[in-house]
Amino acid sequence: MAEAVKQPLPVLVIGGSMVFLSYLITGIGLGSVYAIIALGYSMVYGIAKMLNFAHGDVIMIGAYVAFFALSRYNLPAVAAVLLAIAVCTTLGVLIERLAYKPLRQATSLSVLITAIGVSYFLQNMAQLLWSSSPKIFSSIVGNRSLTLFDGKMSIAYINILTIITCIVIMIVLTLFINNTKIGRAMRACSEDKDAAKLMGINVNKTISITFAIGSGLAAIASVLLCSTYPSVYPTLGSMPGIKAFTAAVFGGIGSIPGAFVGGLLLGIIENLSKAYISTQLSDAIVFAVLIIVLLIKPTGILGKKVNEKV
Amino acid sequence: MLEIKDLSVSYGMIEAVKGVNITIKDGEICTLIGANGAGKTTIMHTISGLLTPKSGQIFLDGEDLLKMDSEEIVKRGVIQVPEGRRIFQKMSVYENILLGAYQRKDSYDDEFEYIYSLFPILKERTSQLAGTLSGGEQQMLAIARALMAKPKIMLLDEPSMGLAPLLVRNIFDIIKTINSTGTTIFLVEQNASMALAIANHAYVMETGRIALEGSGEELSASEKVQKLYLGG
Ligand SMILES: Nc1ncnc2c1ncn2[C@@H]1O[C@H](COP(=O)(O)OP(=O)(O)O)[C@@H](O)[C@H]1O
Ligand SMILES: [Mg+2]
Repeated sequence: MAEAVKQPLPVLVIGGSMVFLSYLITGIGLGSVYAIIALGYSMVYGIAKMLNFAHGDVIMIGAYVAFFALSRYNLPAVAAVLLAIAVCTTLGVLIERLAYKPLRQATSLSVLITAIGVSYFLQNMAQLLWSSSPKIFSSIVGNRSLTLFDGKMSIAYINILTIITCIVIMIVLTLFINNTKIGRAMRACSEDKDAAKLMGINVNKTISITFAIGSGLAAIASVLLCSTYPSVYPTLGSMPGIKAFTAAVFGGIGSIPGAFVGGLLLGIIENLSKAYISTQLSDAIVFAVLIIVLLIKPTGILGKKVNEKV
Repeated sequence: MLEIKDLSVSYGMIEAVKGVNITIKDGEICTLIGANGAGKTTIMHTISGLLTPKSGQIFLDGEDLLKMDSEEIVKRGVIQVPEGRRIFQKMSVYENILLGAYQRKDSYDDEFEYIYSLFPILKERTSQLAGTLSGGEQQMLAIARALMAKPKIMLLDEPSMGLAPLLVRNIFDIIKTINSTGTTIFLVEQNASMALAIANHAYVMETGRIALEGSGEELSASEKVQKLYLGG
């Protein structure tokens, strides 16, 4: 008797929370992509002390490479991802060498303007080479979903793959930065470049490695992103780029866990806003939260206050 | 032997070092004293390859250091303990020490033992963040870090800066100990009396030029040095 009365209520609550959980997991998936992209911004900022605004466009190039590898040359997904990583890593190092390295002694404003220039250059190059009409990317894991709780809840496989990839990247990268000789050199360069030189560290090489890692991660992000939103076009990287940059600032720029936390929170806030408030307003809400966080804690959620030596 | 010949270094229009000649013989303690802004640090940075001079030459045992970048200069055993220590604050004491051996390809267990015997306090603090050390401990760490590179010649830029007198004495004793193992020392100081007391050879620098040169004793006795740098 008592059971019969109780029953409808839990089902209703479970039904509602299932929907919420679905939105949450999709948000975490989106946030994981932001986090992977944010790492590129954050690491480059931490070590080269510059905002690489062309980072989003490296994602776009990665997406085209993966698209052609998958759709034109019918390569297996793993090969397509590896090819995108190889191309993006090379591109990232080339951008640094050709555009940023000559400006090592220049003002940060000159570097910023150059980065924006590189960004437009890549977008226009893509338009010239591949036209501006979108190409349809076929997801590397298909469009299948995992169905749970008798169909009450479904999670796209790409979401699961994205979240796992992000977690693996965070763990590997953290171990790399904290425990390897190159990781130590990167942290030394981030703190004091001249002192790093006095240790015999090749600062230029270390900066190149940082760009290579960030751009390689951008390639991975591009495949995950386009497997979720299957459209490839020349300005594809702009919005995720800006969002990920926001995530990096949100979490505390220069910090790896910060990029992770910032990316996830951004993705969750964005997706829940879309679901429960308004699709049009979701970006506005995301940036409003960013502004509030920065007002309360100017260095971002996990950013540490450092006494910069001049 | 490190030979600096007719070295001139500028920051844009500012000529900080003007035609300086300095010779540092193997195994000696050579010191360079001079007031703030004389150009001492500029010389140190140029030797280590952080600055490119306008003209002049720097030879290490006949090899032209100006043709090398800082990485190669470190590989040659020219190791600097920079002004203000410049330890990596956000890294542990142990990591700072490891970074000192960054260019080493051989085993550096002996150096570890040596620096911990010179600075037992560092051994107690290996896992502590370097930024949390006291000023004196940070200076010890900076010297320990340099020793890990197995220096042939150690460049020390104002190691006594900002330290209490007792610690200053301590640091100068350490410098003498390091020198006694065969490491050549090039010591830049504003603390002229202490520096001259331990120096085999000394230079006095004034606004970018070498004003006086001689043995440590000669310069300690010089009237000009007494008046300008020893407060006598
Ligand atoms: N980065 C710089 N830019 C411009 N001028 C500098 C710079 N560094 C030092 N100077 C100038 O060069 C001169 C010598 O400085 P420095 O070598 O630091 O002297 P010291 O180490 O003897 O105190 C000073 O006049 C100083 O103002
Ligand atoms: Mg100085």
